[in-house]
Amino acid sequence: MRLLLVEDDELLGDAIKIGLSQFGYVVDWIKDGETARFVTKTESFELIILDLGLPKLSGLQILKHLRSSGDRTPVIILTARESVESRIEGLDTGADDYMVKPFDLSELNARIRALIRRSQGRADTTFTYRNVTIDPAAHSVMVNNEIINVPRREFALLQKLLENSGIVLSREQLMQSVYGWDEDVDSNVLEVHIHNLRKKLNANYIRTIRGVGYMVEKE
Amino acid sequence: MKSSLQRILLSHLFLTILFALLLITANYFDFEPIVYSIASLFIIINIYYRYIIAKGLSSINSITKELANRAPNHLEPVSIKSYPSEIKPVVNELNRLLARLKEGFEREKRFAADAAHELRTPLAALKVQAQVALNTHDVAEKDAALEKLITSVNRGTHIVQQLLTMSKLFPDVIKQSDLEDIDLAKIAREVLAVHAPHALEKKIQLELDACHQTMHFKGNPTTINILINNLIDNAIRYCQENNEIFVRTYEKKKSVILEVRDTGPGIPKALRSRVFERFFRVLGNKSQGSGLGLSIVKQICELHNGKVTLKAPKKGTGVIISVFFPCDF
Repeated sequence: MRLLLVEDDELLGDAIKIGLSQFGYVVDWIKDGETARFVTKTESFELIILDLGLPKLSGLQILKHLRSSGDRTPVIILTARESVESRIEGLDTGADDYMVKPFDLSELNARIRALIRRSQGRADTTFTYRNVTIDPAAHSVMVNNEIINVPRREFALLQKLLENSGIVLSREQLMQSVYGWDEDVDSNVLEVHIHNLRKKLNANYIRTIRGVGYMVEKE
Repeated sequence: MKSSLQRILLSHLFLTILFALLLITANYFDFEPIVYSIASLFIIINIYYRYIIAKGLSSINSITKELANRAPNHLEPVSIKSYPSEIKPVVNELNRLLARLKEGFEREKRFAADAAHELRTPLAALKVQAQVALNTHDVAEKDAALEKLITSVNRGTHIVQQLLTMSKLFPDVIKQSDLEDIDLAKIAREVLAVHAPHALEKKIQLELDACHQTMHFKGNPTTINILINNLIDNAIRYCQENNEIFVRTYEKKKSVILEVRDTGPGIPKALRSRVFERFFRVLGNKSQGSGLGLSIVKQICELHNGKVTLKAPKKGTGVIISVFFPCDF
């Protein structure tokens, strides 16, 4: 799950990035409004966490640009402005949720999950594909109703593949949803993860499309 | 203690009774009618005077009652209905005092709200960092998170201290008893001595060029110390390694001037006029200021009837802040 965090405060941004990474998300952290606007046009994210008081371009302005250009990425506003008027303004400008600082990290996590679920058209909190059930909240994977151990990155990879069954995902897309920009990784790490998943899940439904990427067969 | 109005009333009462007696005795002794008329006129005039004075007193009473019945936070002006012109100046001054009090209270309320708002982000960082520490079993990660937590607490502490400083500057007049002869160079030397180790650590060069002060100006040494402290603290905060900070005191045209010049990254032109605003921070740089430093400087400067300017140097980058203390304060 790749998230965009737009927050100008050094200490808070750093804390949120680490905190959400602990939950298994890949967090790309941008510190000013203009760069954020540029990045949202050129990259895709599962969800955007948006602070309102930003340099160069305010959070609300970014949100306006986003929605007017048809971008439907879920957005959670994170702000010190707690008045009802501000909340109404934020939600009416196009945010899907509004959290006031200080906030609970676990609550932020839960709201992120809820919004991503909704944006995928699901209401169920667990996701089932054939004999596999994944629970993003618990980070658990069950095969034939038996829990199997799947480390963080492989879980993220599996989730991305299963949620996009029938769609070919390029190596780049898969890498981006599992590793952040600033992470230095070996070029064949993706192959290692895929190999591990296939073995653990007995998943011959994970197909390699040579020269393009990977795909999970449609159910 | 009898008021002067009450004394007048009593003496008039006494005189009225006296004249009434005179009238009665005049009746007995068959005085001229003119005596009757004068006495009657006097009595009527007295009654009229008593009526006017009583009316004046009653309007004072009604103002007193209105004020006594007020809730403590009711600072609206006393309404001017009909009362004697002697009382008007008092009521006017009272209303002006009430207006100043009201403005003072509203400013404090706004300040408290602003302060609370400013602390939300640092507190959020604290909470998230604590949760990050709890969510990991890796000792190294836990320790890293806890160290960042302490940095956040230090930042929050700094903000709180600046807030307290600001709030103490609120009655914006210095009492005559708090004014002393100021040796600006001496205070500057003291402040720089305190900051020198920190500047050294950050590899920033800090220098003072203080001329011998011939002009006298009166000021409050504590607040001037805070002013210089904030200027130096600001400069060190926003300067980078190998930048320089030059502090200079000199005299010019009836003012004693403090100049703090640095060769740091400077402030973009568009933002220069805004840096003295409360809580305004030039966003996008990495340091953890409170946003209050320069507004404290401005406030203290104004307390001394002075002025403060901010410019960019003609060559290179940086900031030149000059504080002018007039010598006739």
